[in-house]
Formats: sequence, structure tokens, C-alpha cells
Amino acid sequence: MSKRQLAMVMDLNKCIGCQTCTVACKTQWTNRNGREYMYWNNVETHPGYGYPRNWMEAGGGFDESGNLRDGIIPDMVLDYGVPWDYNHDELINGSLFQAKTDSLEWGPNWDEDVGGGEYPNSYFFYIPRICNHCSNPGCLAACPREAIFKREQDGIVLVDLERCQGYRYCIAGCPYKKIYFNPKISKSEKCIFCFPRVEKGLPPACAHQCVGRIRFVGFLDDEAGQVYKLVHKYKVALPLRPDFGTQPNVYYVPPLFEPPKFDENMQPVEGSRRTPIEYLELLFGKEVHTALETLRKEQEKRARGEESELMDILIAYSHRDMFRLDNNYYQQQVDKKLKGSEFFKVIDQRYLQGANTKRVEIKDYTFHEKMLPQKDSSKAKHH
Amino acid sequence: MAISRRDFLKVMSATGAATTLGTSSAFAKNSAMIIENPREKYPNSSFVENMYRKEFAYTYGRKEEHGTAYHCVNCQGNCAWDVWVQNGIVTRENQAANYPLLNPKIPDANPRGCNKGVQHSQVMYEKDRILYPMKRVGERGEGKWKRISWDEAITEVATKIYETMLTVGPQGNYIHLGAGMLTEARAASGKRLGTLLGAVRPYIASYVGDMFPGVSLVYGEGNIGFSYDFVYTANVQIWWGQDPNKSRIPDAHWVWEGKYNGGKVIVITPDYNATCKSADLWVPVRAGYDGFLAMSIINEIIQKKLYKPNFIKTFTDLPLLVRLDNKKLLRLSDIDTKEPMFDKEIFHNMEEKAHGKHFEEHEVFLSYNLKNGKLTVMPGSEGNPVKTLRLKDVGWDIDPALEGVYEVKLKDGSKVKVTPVFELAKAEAQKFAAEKVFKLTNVHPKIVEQLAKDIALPKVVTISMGFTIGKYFNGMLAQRAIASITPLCGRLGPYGGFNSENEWSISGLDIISGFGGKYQHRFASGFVSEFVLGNMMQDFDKLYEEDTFKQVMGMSKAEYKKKVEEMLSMSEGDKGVNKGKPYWNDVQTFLLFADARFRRNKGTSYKKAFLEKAKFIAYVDFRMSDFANYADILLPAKSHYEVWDLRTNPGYHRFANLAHPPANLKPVGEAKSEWEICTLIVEKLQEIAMKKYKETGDKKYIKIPDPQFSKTGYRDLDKVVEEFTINGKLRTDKDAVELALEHTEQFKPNTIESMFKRGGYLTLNEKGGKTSPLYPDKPYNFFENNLYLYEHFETLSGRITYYVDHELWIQEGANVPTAKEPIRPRKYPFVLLTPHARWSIHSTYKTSTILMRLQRGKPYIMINPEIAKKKGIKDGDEVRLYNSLGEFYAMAKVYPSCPKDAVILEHGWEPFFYKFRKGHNETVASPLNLLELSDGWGHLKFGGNWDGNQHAYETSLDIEKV
Repeated sequence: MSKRQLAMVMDLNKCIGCQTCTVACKTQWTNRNGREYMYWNNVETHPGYGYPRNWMEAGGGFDESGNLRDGIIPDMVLDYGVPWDYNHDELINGSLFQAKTDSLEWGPNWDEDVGGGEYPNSYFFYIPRICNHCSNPGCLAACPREAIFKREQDGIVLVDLERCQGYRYCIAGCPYKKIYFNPKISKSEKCIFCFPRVEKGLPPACAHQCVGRIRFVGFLDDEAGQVYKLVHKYKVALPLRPDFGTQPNVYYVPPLFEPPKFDENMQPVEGSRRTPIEYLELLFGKEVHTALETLRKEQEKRARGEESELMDILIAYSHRDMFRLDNNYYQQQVDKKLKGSEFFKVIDQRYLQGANTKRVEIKDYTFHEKMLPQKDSSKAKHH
Repeated sequence: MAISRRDFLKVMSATGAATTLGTSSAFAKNSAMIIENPREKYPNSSFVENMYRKEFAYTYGRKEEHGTAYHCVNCQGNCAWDVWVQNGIVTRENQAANYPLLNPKIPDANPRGCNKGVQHSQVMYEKDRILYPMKRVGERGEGKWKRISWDEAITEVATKIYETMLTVGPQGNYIHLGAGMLTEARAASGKRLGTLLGAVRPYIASYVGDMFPGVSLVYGEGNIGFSYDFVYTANVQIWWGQDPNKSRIPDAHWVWEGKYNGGKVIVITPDYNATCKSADLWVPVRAGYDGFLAMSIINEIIQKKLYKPNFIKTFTDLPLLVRLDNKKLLRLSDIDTKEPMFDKEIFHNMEEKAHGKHFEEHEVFLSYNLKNGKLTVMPGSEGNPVKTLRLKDVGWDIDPALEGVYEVKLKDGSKVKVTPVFELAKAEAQKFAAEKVFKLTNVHPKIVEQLAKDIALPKVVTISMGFTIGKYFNGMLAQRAIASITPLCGRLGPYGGFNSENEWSISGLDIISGFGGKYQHRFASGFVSEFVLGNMMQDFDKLYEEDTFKQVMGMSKAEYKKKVEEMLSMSEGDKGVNKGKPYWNDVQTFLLFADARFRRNKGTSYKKAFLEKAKFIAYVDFRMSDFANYADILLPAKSHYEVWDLRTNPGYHRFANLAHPPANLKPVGEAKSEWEICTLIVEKLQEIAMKKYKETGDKKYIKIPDPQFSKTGYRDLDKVVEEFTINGKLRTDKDAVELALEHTEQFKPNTIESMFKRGGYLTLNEKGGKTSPLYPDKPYNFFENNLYLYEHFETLSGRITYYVDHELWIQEGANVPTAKEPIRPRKYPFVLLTPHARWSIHSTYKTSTILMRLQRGKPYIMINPEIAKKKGIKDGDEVRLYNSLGEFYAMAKVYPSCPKDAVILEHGWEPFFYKFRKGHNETVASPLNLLELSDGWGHLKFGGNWDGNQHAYETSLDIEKV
């Protein structure tokens, strides 16, 4: 195990399926250099095929006795979907706007909002997915080169691109199919939890830029943090497909919100569920029952006007408080290893809370720009 | 075959070690790397770490070079972005996410943004950028161009504008910034130019069909409501015809945070949309029957006595008396004030309070005072100088009756029966009892019962109404009915109420967009001017069925057409101003900015008719849109990260954002800002005119007569440069921003520097609220000043309005809130719903490769699985959609959340996306609604609050597999 684990919680009740995260990730990392088809972050409609298509059926991960399961490498055309291009340059010639392909057959969001059920009792919800930065990564176990590792300081899973030979066992081994083959460099690449941003004090692009404010980022051992509280204290944040055995470090608050169904006379059926609970069980395990129950009870409490720390956390009053990047901790690492590295100069002061980092309390938010700590806390430490 | 994990690892690491050993020289390592447990520790982490760190550092660039921006498009989301730049090239954008937490108990506005804004950096360098000025050399639309210099292009445009002024007059020019250009500083450029030259400018909100005329009727103003953080505080939030999860992406978080806070979320839409999926209740109203549902809720509230009598007596026109003989409101001018039934004492006291100001008797209304059984003048109306809505004040104490029939003696001595508006409204609502309309609305009476309670009983309730409601032919009536619900329950200000779209009060912008009233532009009705320009009556003829139309509207198509023609003939040209909906038929020279004209206009006739009428089209945009193809001159505009700009309204939040280009940004082609372009045109225009004047010595070449719209009586072309630029102070986009900041009270105290430092925004000060104070730490909602200070509304009666006694409204039975069915043809089974898209802002960003890859790559239409099966259509099939007006082709997406009597197509696709360049609007007609055409009654006078809508949802069609 790495010394500490950086983790993310995503609240599916607040996810609006806008995919700002997907695009933020794309412009940060995957719009170039052979990564074009990759979505290190994607958002998929459930129930649905997901991205890549049928990833839940594509094997990988571990069986009950801890053995790596066989897996497949998804098909570029049928499963990932070939990223099509357009004839923008021809528009000036009076051309129609067209994809430069004859077959538009599949893409990363092809079954957007489709879900299940029948009108008027249809249902769907969204699951945003990044690499789970598992404690027991399937990709890592599958790599014959041992070129996949967890960073000691925060447990972020990376592919050592110096040593990767592009064998692609990792793709078969990851049950989430969140590691991709880069055809341009013939090596595997994946979500890196935006560690270069995190080290400099900026949350991962998908989380920082999430306009639904569904994502919390922090260290799992930071007991004052929301991630710890949602995962361990209230147990309302659950890993996706825990049965895959990889011990993910991305957690989901399962979907509680949905309207009642209608009976044949178009009367709402009180207490009815649209999304079958079995489906949620499949995704999040048996624990989903207690998680939903806790959420329901706390929500009712709040509706009665009582205090609820859980609701306060999920509401997330201040966007900046959703991220606890504990930058002093990284600074300590730097001091040990890479003193003075340009890579660790903090570029944003706002998200630096954490077990090792105290942030100056901002009382008057209206004028917060004046109240921010003027200097890096690390600098203060040097004196 | 599964091997055990331990064995697998053993085998695999052995292989790994062998490979490493065998090829060690290739990896430039001195010895094999020993990896004990890569879950814990890894010896070679820095290679890949540094690679990604460098990549990130490259995209991030240097903070001090970053710009700030928002996207000047018609989503109106207005979000502050941090624009990253490397070597003068924009690499990406990241929300600034620096808005303040206004109140520690209410979620902040960060990180405002969406999936479209987040990729503008990719679009700004796309291959469809217009890089240079171009002149058409082939036929229009043929795609043959010649690159020309800016000077050549501007000369051509200025010459055409000048010639038009000489030959036709100022009204021959049409200078317009389309819906792709809706910000205060940037859009002021073309407005200023048009105003200076007296050109025609149509009303955007009207022609795109995003107006709320039905709301203007009720409240005196169409764009009213809350800043979106208000919904967080609501006990019940109702979203009617709206999908905030898709169409208000930056604001949607408050909906769900409000639900966690104990609020109830109700969505009323025909389809089970992205917002419904998390609601407490979804009300599946049948498309086009929202008005019926609203009326049934009104009926339920009245019948169950859930309304607040004291409130409606004070703040609404429901107690005003109506003559039963002619359905006209009883006016002070009608009655014999010497009769003992008239309360002279109160009238006398009001006269005293008026301090000699005149009572306009035909705009003074009466109620029946239960306190003394007399007819009493009601304060607050247009003709009453006493403006307070207080019913009890020094000098009067009125308890107006809401019910009963009374007899009144008129001036001529005759007697008529009168009754309060409430009685008539109640009777009309009864026709829409929930059981009666269930078959039409698809909404079970039990739900109506629940809705009435949910609206009436909790402390804070909001009904937010989307743009879809006004997109039906009779949608104005539905808007009015929906807007009429919450006042019955006393909802204003802190108690919630109705929301369409809040607008802040921003004063002082006239400095950049106008001339202090010295010059006026020719402000044309949006829906009427497009209807006329595009010959759209033809489409009405082709699409609608005689029987259906007659059954719904109570008149034949021919009778309707005659009426429309009569009304239009009144309001044409300069002579028609103030006589209805103005439009100018002799427009011929078009200078258009960011205006997807052939995309948004409905029907099959528009394009041909427009191209025939337009003798010259100059088009300014940053990208090659479908319409750009038809221009005679193309001018390359800067896009959002390259300009200076400022944006506040509408009021989803209280921040004005700043567009501040990144430092050392490399220019994209020869693009210029709209301000620079307009300045160049004005300079060239003056130069040409002066040359002509000097050659001829004839003043007519520099003095263009315009007695009606210029206070000087002329458009003086020898002075346009000094006037346009305020003697050189206002030439560029940056000048406009500086002047706006300097002159706008609500922005103070702020400069470009202070805004930039904060992250590209400023917070409006307390003066930003129109009808409520804008408290520094509380969400905003309209009408607090009315509720607490008894200020009157901007309506004829000074009250929230239920009754309209305009002759035509009485004829159409719309004197009280009511509902009418859609007129869409019944022979085609599917109504076409074209809601706002998740993936584009209308047509803007539709051509983004990144965003298209997250959809289906081309236009797709959503259909119910059962219908698909019946029609033999599979997901992904190409289908043809058609009716008697036209046809279009799209990909079918089988979609369980689509009702069986509708097909859904997210709107915004330009014609060039479709086979044969036939857009979906080829199947849509947009006839003028007579009530929306009517004009001149009280507050229903043409202007920003009273125009009409184009109707995108008033068509039905059939579908077949190709």
C-alpha cells in the first residue's frame, strides 16, 4: 500500500450529465498525441452500455479468491467508437457539414439518457467515471513489465511510459476499462488524477470544473475531510462494482433522487421506485441499501429543519471547501526529494486544506481575495 | 482458464525481468530494475511524472499571461473563465471559480461554466474560422470567394449603406447583431451604429421565440424572477416546461442542493427529461396543453379556497368591476359620480392626496367596497395619480368585494350590472376543472390537487417557466395562465412566486449604445418583421388544416389571414410607428453580426424570400456558419477570448464578468472586434459622403433627412465619426468596456484592473435590483418593493393583471385567463418538440468536433420505442420526417423517455447539417398570433415587454424509415 491515498467521491444525485468534466479532461490531456479516442473521464447513462461499450462484461479484475480474471481488449470501432472528424475546411466552399466517415455507429455517449423502462415510467441516471486508482489495481497486476505503479505519496496509479512496452495486458486486466492503448506511442495511458495539478494546488480538472459540484477530493486518512466522512463515517459513498476486487478509491453517493412511477390511470404510485434496486446492488453492492437509507433519513431530518452534517457536506456551501489537497504534505515530499523543483510551485492557494495543511480561515467571503494567505505556507516553514 | 493471482504475478514478473535484462541497453539502464511491490514503491517514477508535469506546465502557461472571459452567446449563463495561454496561443480554459460565498448558509456560484464553454479554446482555432475579409465571386451560397483587404471590404460595406441612405433613406438599412452576440459592451457596437444611422433593428427575443408576453401582461414585465440561488431556499420548486439540468447547467446545482436542504422538486414537461430523473414529482403534461393544466390548477386553488383574499384584493385586479353588458372594465369615466352609490369621500381624499394632479378617468377603475357598500376608486392605476396599492391609508379604507353582482348607473343614466374580475376568472377556470381536462392534459386530477396544495401551502414556492411554453401558437395564453397561479397564493419577494428570467437594472450603458435620445434606431417587431421578410403566410397556408384551425380559433383560415393583413397594414414603415407592431418593408442592405438567420427562421419560404429582398448582405462572424455562405461580403470577427467585453444580464446571478484577452495573444487571421469594424465603417462612410459633398457642393449628400427618428431632423454624415467615437474616446472594444464601467452605477466601484485581479468579475452593488433590494447576502427575488412598500406594478391597473378588456381579447374570450388548444395538424401523429440542447447554445458550438463526438455525429431525432417498433425503425436508422409543408432527414434514436405522440429533436442544427440542406424548420410554420399582434391597450404597447413569439412547437409530422 502507498503511504496515503488520495480519493474522490462523486455524488450521483447532483450529477446532471453535462459532461463538463469529460471535456475539461479532454482539453487538459486527451485532445492530442494519440489520446484522441480516449476518455480518461467519461460520463455514461445507466442502465446502459457505458464506455467502452459493455465494459462491465469485458472481464479483468479479480475473482473471489483473488485471481486475476480473464479480460478482453475492447474493439476500437464497436466499443470505443472511432472519433470522427469533420470537413470544417470545406464549409467556405459551400459544402454541407459532414463527418468524414460513412459509419456513425458508436461513440462514448451514444446511449445518452436512454436508460431503461417504458414511458411514462422510464428512468436513467449518470455515472461519471475516471480511473479508480485502486488499492489493488487490475492493470498493475496484469502488467508483465511491472511498469504500472502506485505513487508512494498519494496512491495515484501511473504507467511508467519509459518501461511500458504496449503489451496491453493491463487493458484486459482492468475491469473498468479505464486504461487505454495509445497507438501513436504504442504504450498504455490512463487518467493520472491530474497529479501535476494537485501537486501545484489545483484540483483535478474533472473535479475542479464540475459545475454540478458533485466531486470531493481529499486524502482518505484526513478525518476532518468530506471524503473520509462520506466514505467511512456515514458510509454513503461506495465503490463501483466492488465485486471486481480491485478496491477502488473513487466512491459514489448512489442515486436516491427519483420521482414515483405512474399506474395505468396516470396516478403516481407513492413509494414506488423507477430504477430497480437490483441494478443499484449490482453497481454498488449490498451496502447500497444502508447508504440509501442513511441518505433518506438525513434528508428527512433536514426537511424537518434539523441539523444534518451529512446534508451540509453534500450541499457543499463553498466550492473551494470540496477540495483538500494538503499541499504542505506535498511540499514535505519535495523538501525530501526534489528541493526547489519548478513542478511544485503552488499556483493556486485556495484548495490547500488537509491533515498537514492549515488554511487561513476566510471570514468575509465577499472580499476573500484580500484575505488569502499571501505567502506559501511552505515558505513560512523554511524560516 | 484462470491461474491463481500469485502464480500469475510470479510468471509475469519473471517475464518482465527477462525482457528487461535482455534489452537493458535499449533502455539505457545500467542494471535491471528491481521492483518489489509497485503498489508501495516504484524506483522509476520520475520519468513519467515529469513528462506529465511538463505537459501540464505547458498548457497552464504563466498565470500572469492568462486572460479572463465568458462566452458571448445566447445561453446567457455568463460564467467567469480563466483563459490559459502558451506562446500567444490559447491552450485551454478553466473556470475562474472565484465568486464569493455571499452567505455561509447558501451554496456559492462556483464553478460556473458548462460543457460548451469549456471547449471554446478548441473551436477558436478550428478550420472554419473566417480569417480574412472575403468577397463573393460566385452565386450566393455557391461557396466562391475572393480574399480582399479590410479597406476594400469596409469601402464596399460603407458605400452600400451610404447609397441606401441616399436612395431609400435610413430605413433601407438593416443593422443587426443576432442572438450570438448578446453582451453589454460588445453588442453595443452595432446598436450604436444602427442608432446613429437610423437603421432598422428587429427585436431578438421575439423572433427567436424567447419572449414572455403572457408574463408581461400579468406583471407589466416579461423578464422577472430570481437569481438562481433563490431556489435553494424554496420549500417547493416547480420547473415548468424547463430542463435546468440541460439548459441551465451552471445553475442546476442549486436545484439539487435545495433538495438536500429539504426542498421538493417538481417538473412539468411532456418528456421525462434530464431534470425529471431526480425530481420528487414529474408531471407528464401533454405537449401544448400546459395552459389547460395551469387553468385547472387555478380552478383547484379557487374552489378549495387556497387563495389569499387579502393579498389579491390589494395586489391584483381581481376586485376591479367589469360591466356585464360589454365585458369592459368599469371606468371612472363610465359612471355618474353624483350618484349616492359612488364613494365621493374616498375619491375626494384621493384627489387631495394627488395634489392637483389630473385623474385620467378612463384609466381609473372601481371596486365595490364591502365596508360601506359603495363604488370606490381603486388607487394605483395608470390614470390615478395616487400610486400606492394600500387599501387602508389616511383618507380611505377599502375592503373590495371579490364576489357578487352589483348594479351601477352610467353617465347616460342607464343601468348596467357589474361584477368583480374574480367572478369572471373563477367561472372561466371552472371550465378547466381537473376531471374535465384530464383527457387533454394527461395529468390526473389527483396530481392537480397535489400541485394546488404544494403551490399554496408551504412558505416559499417558486414556479419557474421555461421558453418552451411560448413556443406554441397559443403559448402566450399558457404563459399568462401559468404566471397567474402564484399571485393567488400571495407569492412575491421572499415567498417566491413566478420566475421567467430575472433582469438586473443596469443604468448608464446608453453612453456606449446610444446618443442620449438624440437619435433613434428603427426598432422593429421581431416576429412580425421576420414574418413579412420571409413571406411566411405561405407556410401557414400549406401546413394548417381548415377544420382544426376553425375548431380551435373560432374562425376560418381566410378570416384569420384577413385579420392579420389588416393589422399589419396599420403598422408598416415610419407611418406605422405606435400603430401596432412596427416593421419596415423597404429594407434592402443588411449588415448582420452572428445571426443564424436561415437556421432559426421557420418554414420553407423564408430563405428564398429573404435572398430576393436583400440586395446586399455583409456578414460578420468568427466562423463559417450556414448563413455566412449567403453573404456578399464576409468580415472576420474576433471570438470570445480575443476581445474586451462586459456582461451582466440576465440575472441568473449577480456578477458582471469581464472579457480580458490573454497577454501577448497572437491574432487569429485578420479578425477584428465588432467595435473596430463599426468604427471603420463610420469613418469610411463619412469619408465617402464628404467626398461626394465636396465634389458636388450639395448638402443633400451629407444631410439625410430623418425627421421622425433624429432630433436634429437629419442624419448628419459629416459628423458621424465624432459622434460615434465621442470625439475619439470610443473606438475599440476596450474603450467600450472602460466607458461602461465608468458610467454604470451598479458596477461601482470597479475598474478593469480590479475586476481582472478578482478573477474577471465584479459583484453588482445594492442598486442592481429592479423591484427588490439586492441584499449583499441574500438571494434575489422580484417584487419585494411591491409587497412591503405597496409600490404599484407597471400595468394599466397598477396591479397584477388578470383582466384585459381590449376588444379583440374580449372577442377571443381571452379577457380572463384561459387556454386554447394547439392548431398543429391532426393528420400527422407526432408533435415536433425542439428543446434547447445540452450540446450547443442554439447553433453556436454545434460544429464542435469534441462536442459532436459526445453525441451522434449528426442530427438525431428521439422517438418512443413502441412507435419505432411500429414503424420498423431501429436505433441508428436514417429516417425522413415530413408533413404538408416540408421534410428533413435525421438519425433515429430510440428513446424511452419520449412520449408516444411526440418526436424530440434538440434544436440549433443549421441547415448545412442536413441532407439537401433542408433543416428541421422546413416542417415548421410560425403564424402570428392575433393576441400577440394586438397592441395599444394599457401596458400592452409594443416594446421590449410586448411583442410576440415565433412558434417552434406548432407543427406535427409523420416519420418513416428511409
